[in-house]
Amino acid sequence: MQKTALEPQKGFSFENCERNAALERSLPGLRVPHARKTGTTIAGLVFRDGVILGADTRATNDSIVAYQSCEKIHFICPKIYCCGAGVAADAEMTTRMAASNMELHELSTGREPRVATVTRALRQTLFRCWGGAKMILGRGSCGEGGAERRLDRRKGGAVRSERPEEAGLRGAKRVAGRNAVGHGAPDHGKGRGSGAGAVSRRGGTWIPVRSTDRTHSAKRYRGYVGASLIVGGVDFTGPQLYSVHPHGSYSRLPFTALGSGQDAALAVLEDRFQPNMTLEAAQELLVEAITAGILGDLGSGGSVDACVITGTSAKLLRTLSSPTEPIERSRQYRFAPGTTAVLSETVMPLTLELLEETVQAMDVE
Amino acid sequence: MAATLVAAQGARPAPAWGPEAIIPEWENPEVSTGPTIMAVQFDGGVVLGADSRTTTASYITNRVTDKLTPIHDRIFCCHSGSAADSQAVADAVTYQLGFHSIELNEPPLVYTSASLFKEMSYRYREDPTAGIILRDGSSGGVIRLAAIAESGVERQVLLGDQIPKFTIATLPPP
Repeated sequence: MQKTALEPQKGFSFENCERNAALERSLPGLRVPHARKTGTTIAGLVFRDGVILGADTRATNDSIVAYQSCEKIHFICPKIYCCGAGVAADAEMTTRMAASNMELHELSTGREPRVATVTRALRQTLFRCWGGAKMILGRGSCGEGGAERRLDRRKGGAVRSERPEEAGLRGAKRVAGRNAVGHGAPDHGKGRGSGAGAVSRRGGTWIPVRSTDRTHSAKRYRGYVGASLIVGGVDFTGPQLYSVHPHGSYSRLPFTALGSGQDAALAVLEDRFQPNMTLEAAQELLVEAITAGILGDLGSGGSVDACVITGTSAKLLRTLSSPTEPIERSRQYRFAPGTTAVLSETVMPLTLELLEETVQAMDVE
Repeated sequence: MAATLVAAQGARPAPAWGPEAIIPEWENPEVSTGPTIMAVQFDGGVVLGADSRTTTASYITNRVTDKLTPIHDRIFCCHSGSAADSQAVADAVTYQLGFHSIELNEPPLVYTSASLFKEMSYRYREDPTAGIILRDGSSGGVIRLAAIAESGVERQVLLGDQIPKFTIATLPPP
């Protein structure tokens, strides 16, 4: 079987950050490229029959508009949608993972997923990624499941205590600290001298051992997943709206707005929100709120997208309203073939030699 | 966590990389509950009270927060400090307490729930994100009350106009 030359490392690669830091130190006055932040206005509100979510559609690259028609309202379940602000890629990936997990959860429980479940799944992911990874939530909760080793600083790394009821759990792996992700084979069973010694070099820290694989995400990403989300949907308990912050905290609210344009949007919502509005009134208010963000915030722009979720269905309304006129371009940027004259043409065949051919039968049973 | 580290090192120019660069400034600081929470025991039960403000630096993210959350039928807890951490700890303890109660087939003791909180806080005492109790943040909003008695739990909300107001002029002279 063909193997890649280099096994890809999981998680973020911080090589360029270290390079930039070294460059800044050695070349004074050098301005290293900044990470790209996107501006957003997202909002949601609960009305009589359900929930309505809204977002702008601008994606920015520093001060350049990268995409005028970006989709910020993500599908999670047929009647649960999620708007994402913050780092766009993080919001997108977090919501996609949540959507997949919710589908699996739905199949396994045989029930329609609840908005509270989606919120909990999202905030647990975010909490874990923000360095709260040592706190385990859910099945692997501390006290049940997952063996834990505590290496005493003073004793220089001898294993002090081990919870006997957890020592026998299958698949208990040891994660060897922050700076040694690829340290070596996981250490099953009792701690050995070499393993303990490796940690004592760093002064001996808590090394929680878990039986789930999700712990690795903290070591891989070092807690830099920044996504602010508004989760809205309708389940059998009724319409619900939650806002989830990058650290993993959540609030259940009747209306909310997040992103760089949240102040402008919230100003409109605070002023005119009423409980139990009709769909028309709610839609109008939401469009006004997002429009306030688009016009009043430099990072937001484009048009207004909305998603109306009721007890029976969800409708995604793309480009519901465009508060600004698109600029008429004075010239065409498409050129007919042959506009640029071809002076000469050279063709060099690339000869490839077949070195090795292997056939691997696929087991289709 | 990022915010407290930055605060400890003092004001700096905007960094080029790291969490402070990737995450926009308005989302950088931890969401904190900067709370006013208290509990008083009376003959027959306990009454808990809390304000309802959640802040991120100087921005109020939620003005109607409910900081009193049930961890069992007759046991509540008040949240303070980092919202994410206190919610996460409360979730974990709720799970453990419920499991414990089902195992014993009887309602859990308040002492047990306090022990679980203590265990969790102590176990992660060296984890800076877990141990942070952010003193910044402010209190405000509405007053939420929970009166827990043997008969049940009574929830109450006191809105702005029902909150007693004190001014220097109305206080009796010393």
